[in-house]
Amino acid sequence: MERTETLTYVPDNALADVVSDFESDGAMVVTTRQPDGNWTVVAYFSTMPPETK
Amino acid sequence: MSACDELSEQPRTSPTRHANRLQGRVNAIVLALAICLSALLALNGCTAMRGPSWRLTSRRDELDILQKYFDPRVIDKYNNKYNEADKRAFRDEVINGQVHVIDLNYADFVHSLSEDSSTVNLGTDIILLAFNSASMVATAATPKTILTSISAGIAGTKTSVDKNYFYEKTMPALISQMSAARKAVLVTIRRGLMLPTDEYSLAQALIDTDGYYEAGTLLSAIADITEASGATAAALDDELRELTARYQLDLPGRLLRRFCKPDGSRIDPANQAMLRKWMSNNGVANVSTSLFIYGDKYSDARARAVHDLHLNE
Repeated sequence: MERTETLTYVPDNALADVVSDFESDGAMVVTTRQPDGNWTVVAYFSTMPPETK
Repeated sequence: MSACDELSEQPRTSPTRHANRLQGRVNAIVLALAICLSALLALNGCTAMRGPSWRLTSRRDELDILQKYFDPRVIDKYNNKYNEADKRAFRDEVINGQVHVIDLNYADFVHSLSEDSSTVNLGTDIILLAFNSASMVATAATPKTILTSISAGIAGTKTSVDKNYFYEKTMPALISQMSAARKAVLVTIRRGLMLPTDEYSLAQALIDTDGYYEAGTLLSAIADITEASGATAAALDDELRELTARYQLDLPGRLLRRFCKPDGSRIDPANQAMLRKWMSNNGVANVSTSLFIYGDKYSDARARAVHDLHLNE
């Protein structure tokens, strides 16, 4: 089952770590700049986390 | 006479006599039990059979009088009315008559499903089993057969109790669902009857009364409950599919990130598995470790995880 997780208000200095961590979890990540200068990170997962499968 | 002689003088009983005595006692006990249960059933049955005493006419007579509203020719009679006032009056009379009949039948139906009815069923089942056991015991030849017969009776009684218990617990939910569904259809009918016949014809009203009847059936209630639980499950699935949180990196989040990625870039599989296990045991299994570490809504859970995994020592 596909699912998405969205993290909003990610500051510039944390963006790289957040993207890297979501990718380590197996997600495909898309980032979008918010009007306030922060970032919205959307992580697309193709399956549920391991314990809920 | 020596002690040995006295003992030898006592009457010896063979295994067959033992079995006969035991059989006689068990017969007496089982039959007494069956008689007691019969008396209880008789008393209880009176309650269940008791109908409403205030009715001046029988239900059968009442339904016979109202039968005319189900005559297939009502549509022709309706179409032969020339003015709106007559058409509307005829439509309202037919629909109100049908609704009344459906209400009477529904009341009888619900009454038959009442708690008293299920109690009688339970009593009947137990008495039947008691008599079956008694008859088996009466014809049994050995103690083993007697005990087997009794245990079969007890097992059968337990099955009957279980079956009736679930019947008793499920039926109120189904009756409640039927009542709610009937009210919803009745609102549609009542609103329709306030409209002129060109907006709510007799044919349309008859379709709605069919729906009113259907709403009061067990099959419809089960279908409604199944549909509602399916919709709830679908909503929960959507919630699981789309999780949103606001970024908040606090001290527990930093500690957990260092736990999962000690060198800042590569995952430690053993540590991440430990964190996932903790999340699974603490109601946050449907979230990735990343959202758990960074999401504001998980701050309390993060603090507990740090404590439980001893990461702040």
